[in-house]
Amino acid sequence: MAAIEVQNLRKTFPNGHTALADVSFSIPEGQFVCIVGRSGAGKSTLMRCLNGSLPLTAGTAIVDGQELIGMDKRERRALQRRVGFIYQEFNLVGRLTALQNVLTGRLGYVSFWRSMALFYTRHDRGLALDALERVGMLHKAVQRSDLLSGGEKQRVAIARALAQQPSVLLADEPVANLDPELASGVLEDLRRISKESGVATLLNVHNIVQARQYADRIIGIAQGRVVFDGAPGDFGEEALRNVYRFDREDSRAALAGVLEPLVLLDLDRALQEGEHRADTHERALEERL
Amino acid sequence: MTLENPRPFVPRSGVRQGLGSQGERWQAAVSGVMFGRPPSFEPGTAKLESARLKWERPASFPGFRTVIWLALFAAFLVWAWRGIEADPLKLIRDFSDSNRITRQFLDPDWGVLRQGIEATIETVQMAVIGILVAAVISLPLGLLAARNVSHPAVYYTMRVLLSFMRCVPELIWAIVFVIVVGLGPFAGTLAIILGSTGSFAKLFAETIESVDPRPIDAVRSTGAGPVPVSISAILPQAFPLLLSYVLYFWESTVRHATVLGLVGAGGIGVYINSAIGILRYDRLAVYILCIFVAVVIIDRVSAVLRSRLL
Repeated sequence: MAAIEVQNLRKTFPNGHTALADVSFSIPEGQFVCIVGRSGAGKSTLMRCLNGSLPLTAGTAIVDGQELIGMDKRERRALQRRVGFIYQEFNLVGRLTALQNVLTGRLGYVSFWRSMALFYTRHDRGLALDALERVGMLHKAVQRSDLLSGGEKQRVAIARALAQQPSVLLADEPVANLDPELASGVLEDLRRISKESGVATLLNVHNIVQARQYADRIIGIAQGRVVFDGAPGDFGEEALRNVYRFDREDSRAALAGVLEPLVLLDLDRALQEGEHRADTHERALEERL
Repeated sequence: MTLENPRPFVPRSGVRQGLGSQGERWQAAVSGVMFGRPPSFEPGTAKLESARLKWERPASFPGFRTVIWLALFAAFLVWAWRGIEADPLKLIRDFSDSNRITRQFLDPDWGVLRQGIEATIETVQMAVIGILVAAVISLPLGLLAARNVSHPAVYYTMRVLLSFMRCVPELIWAIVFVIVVGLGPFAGTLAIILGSTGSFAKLFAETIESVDPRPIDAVRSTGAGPVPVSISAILPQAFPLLLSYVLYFWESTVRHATVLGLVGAGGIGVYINSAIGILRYDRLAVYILCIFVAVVIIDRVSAVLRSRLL
């Protein structure tokens, strides 16, 4: 069964704005999917719908076996417990230590009275420490989280999501606030974790090059609709136009700045597979642009 | 690609460059609160062009609306001034009468020092217990009275309840408890608890409303219920301000202990009131000195606690 199954999903806000017009896709377990799209395309709304924080307007969406439409409060909480969410701005509680932040990922599981007393069992603490270890942050476990650097904070946030023992991971632009180096590291971690534990992972990414480097599959969203859904290697000029330049007719020259890294990426891959020699690299680039 | 500024900056009206127009400063002082939304402009319109000319002016008179608001504010001040029956001449004319007080003050009766110290310690003890209990009670009340945590119906009910609690002064509570539990510091402590809980809970609620909502979102989306979210995501963020309020109230309660003494509810206030009653300002001086020393010590203790705990 697919981890996420979305059919004709529509989301209209109370103010009349339709953020998602018609979105359908199906994501099997363990797949690592990047969602790309312009700001305001509805990517974040999609994420928030899928973790149950926003109610859907129409369509069907099934996340880890739970139908999102018509679920009651208890079902929603039970779902949110199994869906890890990672934010662009990390959203850690600054005054708590890294470990305490990760432990909040267990709150959905602990009993009411235990959570009142902030008493986590050995089992919960073990899971939290495992999660920290998996993102390479065990050594900072008792560091206050507002003293961590950006990349470290995001790793702790990922550990918090992992402590939930999620069956689905959603990440809303997890690397937009990080420098390119850290961003690659965090994306690598996310991909590794997704593969290790077979968790379906859906993330919004702004950088197409990163999306193409790390994703198993790219979904392009524009104006609340899916305009591209395919393998990273197929995300080329046409997809780029459909996702980012649907409302204007740009010359190739204007697109060049975005296209160039993509073409380079293709060429790099080809080079590694031995199709080109290095000296033809530049000529090939000129041809493609 | 080269970035060309589509329209280089040329001062249109040829006026001097300044740090920002007077009108803007006037507006900055009062706008936002009173004016609501600033006007919106379409790019490229004549309206925006003329507004641009205005924004370039380094100094300008406050706008019509600003003047209206300032005038209203001035009228408000005049209204309040008339209410207090202020007569500065009186202050000078009648000062000689206070000579006796001043003289006694400068010659304190050290014989009551021991008594004063003991009573001050009792006041501090009353304040410690009173404020701590009030803080513990106020925590859940504050959460219920915070817009971002509570249900709207509960929120409004709590706000009304807290307003009522603040309206009843500590003195009245003290009278009530002196009748219930008899004279002495226990009545005073109960009065401190009820008197501070209203203010505490309001301050707590407003602190809780101002914490960063994003970590709350994150913890909530792990499937945690409202109480665990409050404890794990809201209270840690609100903690520094809550601690500041508690420490400040501790100090301020010691300072206000006189009020409780009026009705015999324990502490240094009892002695202060009797000293005033028999016109022994030399004793009053000693008692006030005791409170002063206590406040200085509390201030230092607060500073240490804050630097350790924040």
